Amino acid sequence: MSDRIQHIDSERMEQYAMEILPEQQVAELEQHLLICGPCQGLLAKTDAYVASMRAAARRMREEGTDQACEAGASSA
Amino acid sequence: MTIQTETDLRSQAADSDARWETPWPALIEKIQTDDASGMEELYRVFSRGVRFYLWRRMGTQDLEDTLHDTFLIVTEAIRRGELREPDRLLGFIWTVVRRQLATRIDQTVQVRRERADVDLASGLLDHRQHPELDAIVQQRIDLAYRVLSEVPLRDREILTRFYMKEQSQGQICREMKLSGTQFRLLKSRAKARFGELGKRRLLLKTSPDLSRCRHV
Repeated sequence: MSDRIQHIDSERMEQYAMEILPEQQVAELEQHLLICGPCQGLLAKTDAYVASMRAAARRMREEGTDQACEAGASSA
Repeated sequence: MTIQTETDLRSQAADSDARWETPWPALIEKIQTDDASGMEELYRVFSRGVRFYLWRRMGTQDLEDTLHDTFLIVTEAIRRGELREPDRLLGFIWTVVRRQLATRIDQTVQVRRERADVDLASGLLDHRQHPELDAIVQQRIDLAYRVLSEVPLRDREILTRFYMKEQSQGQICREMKLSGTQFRLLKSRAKARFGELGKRRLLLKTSPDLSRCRHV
């Protein structure tokens, strides 16, 4: 066992927070989280960021300020 | 029992950096021989991580009881020799935590059903009991809203597709004609801006002189 820790990069952490990380990577990541304070901190921040972006985007849609998004999405 | 708030748990998670001195096999041996230092180390290394894992999924309700039960199950299993490969301690604890979480969630769902209360989310995540948390969450949403307002429409669409519509990176890149690198760069810039705005807001709160400046 080594005291050197390889931390989780922000991209993988975001995938985990959004529950889109491939299943086979989840176990390893969650086990690392059990013993790594900095990565727990990163996950807490990532959770907050993802939830905020989601809520803000939803608010924009409700207010109709995301019209360009809708137009783009429907044309895609 | 002290009820910890989301803020407490978040800051604890950020501050903690679990270090362990004893290799897993030696730690297991200590626990099996009832050496109190083994128990202490097990708790010191894992309690923050396990608490954070549980809190993230079940909120603060029953958190301390679940944490206590988890350590009880782990230590009893170790004493009975059920952990045959000491190097797999981490995986073993993870498995126990997941089972405990599943059991608690099942119990909560059952209780909710019996009470004919379908508002499951409020039972699992008791945010409504902490109005100060609502204010923090609202501030973060305002920052994210500002980030989305500032970026070009095309970038906003990409971020909206990803975070709100939960479209995959592959689909977005294909439909928006983006490379993976461009996609990651855009997300990373938006996140950096969010962090920057958050820091400025914090600075405004702690520096009264700056709060008079409109364009900070």
